[in-house]
Amino acid sequence: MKDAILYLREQIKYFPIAINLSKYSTKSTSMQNKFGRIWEILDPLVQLAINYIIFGVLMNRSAPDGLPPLPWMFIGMGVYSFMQHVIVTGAKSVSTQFKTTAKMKFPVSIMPTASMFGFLTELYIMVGMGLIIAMFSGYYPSMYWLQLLYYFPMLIIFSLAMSLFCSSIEVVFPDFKFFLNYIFRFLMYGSGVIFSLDHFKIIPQFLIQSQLINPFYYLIEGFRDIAFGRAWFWEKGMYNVGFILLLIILLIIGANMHMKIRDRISDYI
Amino acid sequence: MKAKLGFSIMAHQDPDIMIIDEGLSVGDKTFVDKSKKKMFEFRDQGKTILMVSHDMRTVKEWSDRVIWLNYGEVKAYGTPEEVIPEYEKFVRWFKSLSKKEQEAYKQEQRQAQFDYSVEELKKEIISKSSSKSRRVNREVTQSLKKKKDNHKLSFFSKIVVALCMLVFLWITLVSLSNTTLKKSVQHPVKFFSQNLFKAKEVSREDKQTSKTTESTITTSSSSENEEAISQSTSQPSTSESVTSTSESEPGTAEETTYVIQAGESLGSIAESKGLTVDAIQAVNPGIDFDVIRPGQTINLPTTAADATTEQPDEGVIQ
Repeated sequence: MKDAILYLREQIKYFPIAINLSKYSTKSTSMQNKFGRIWEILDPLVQLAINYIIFGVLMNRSAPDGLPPLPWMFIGMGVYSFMQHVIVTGAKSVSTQFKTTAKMKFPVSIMPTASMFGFLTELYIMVGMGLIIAMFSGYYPSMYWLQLLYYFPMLIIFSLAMSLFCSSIEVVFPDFKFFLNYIFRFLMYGSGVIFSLDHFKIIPQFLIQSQLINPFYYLIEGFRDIAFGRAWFWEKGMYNVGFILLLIILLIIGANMHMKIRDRISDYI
Repeated sequence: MKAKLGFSIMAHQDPDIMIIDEGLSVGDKTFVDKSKKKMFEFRDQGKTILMVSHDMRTVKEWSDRVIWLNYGEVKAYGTPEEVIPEYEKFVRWFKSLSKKEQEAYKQEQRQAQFDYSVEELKKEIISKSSSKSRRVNREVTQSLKKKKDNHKLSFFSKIVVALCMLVFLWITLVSLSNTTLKKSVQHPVKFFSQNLFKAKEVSREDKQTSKTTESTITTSSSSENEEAISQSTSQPSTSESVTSTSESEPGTAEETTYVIQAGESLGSIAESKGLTVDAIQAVNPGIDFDVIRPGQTINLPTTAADATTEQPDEGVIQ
């Protein structure tokens, strides 16, 4: 508990440093490219175009409940790939960038946060495009968009808590990154990102109905609710409670593990 | 270059204690001179500088006091004039050994490092302290313990985590069952014995049929569906009305679904399909045929004579 509060306090205190770190790290990576920072915008757009051609034109696929399939998919992909990137690179960031922090005057705990900022542009573009395309199908901005104020912080806090948790494991057990990759590969299909699981008759109904307990699915569906004005988050009832409880568990355990190994990271690496 | 940068960053942060690990043995002469000047400046301000080096000349030149570390053990501590000759004596002695002896010495020291434990450290501290009372013993044990794991999850947060996990698991179980959270808390026994791992009332078949009627054309997974598409394209004017084939469950392989159109009666459907009214009623046990309305879905039996593929044609013609 104490550790979690300390972690949150550090995040707030070193927030500007985290932003600077991410700015310079994206700058240094984009310096090697001819187009530089344009890729930050271009990359998600190209990804969307590829998916549009494959799923929108070639497969002409459908989304559940008669929703427009492309925005349905784009929002899912945007939110999911944001979580995936933040958690995977955040988990790596502590062990790879530890050397930088050793010379500086800030705590290691902001490294996952710093790497998170770099992925925000991608999230904005993917979800933004999803919202814009949804407008062509007649889903205009509504009161439901106010839910962004709830889902967006939840998305960020969940991703950060998860990446802190995974980063501590990865310092002690470096092979963890492989498992993390496999888990995310599986979750991509298991969380209804590209297609809804309702189609599959082989999955028992009681598993389908409990999908919302999966935090990834909860967040993805939340963003889809915003776009299509389907529901308010409190209508999900106990799943909100479940999600927040999971968040608290992750934060407390993750922060504790982090503080436990923080003084000894150099011994492990 | 990196060492230079590291040193510059450190100098700019204006620290109270500096630790330099062989940092200046790599730089060029001008840089070493510059950093030396800076370090002496820091020293005059009363700051502590801890430097690690193998170069005896730098040590002699820069330090006020010297610690000689040998395999993690403090061999000597004092002014450079005292310690350095001792160290040089040791080096000379080590060099005079044969290669085998050198190897053996290294092995021995390394093993000693491995074998060292907290228990031994405790013994050492206690034996060094002058008063051999129990209190000292306890204090030493305590302080060592504290140093070892000062980040244990506190009792309170353990309880919080355990409670959260419990509630979360409960919610997961409730989501896997066919009741609500409130009912499961009120009747926990019934919840565990009857409701667990059951689907909710909104049954899957309803969802499935509604989905297939909405998008028969797009879900082309099974061969039957493909046939349905080829037919419906061959007769464009009426293809919407016939949403047959596409069986939703494997158990009803000999039945087809049919959406009732406006102005149809059960008799006319049966006639157009070449079936009897009784036969249709037999495969639809749950439906009251006294009142049928347009848009309602019913099951039709397929006799051996008419294949599913032929029926829609007849149904359309009427």
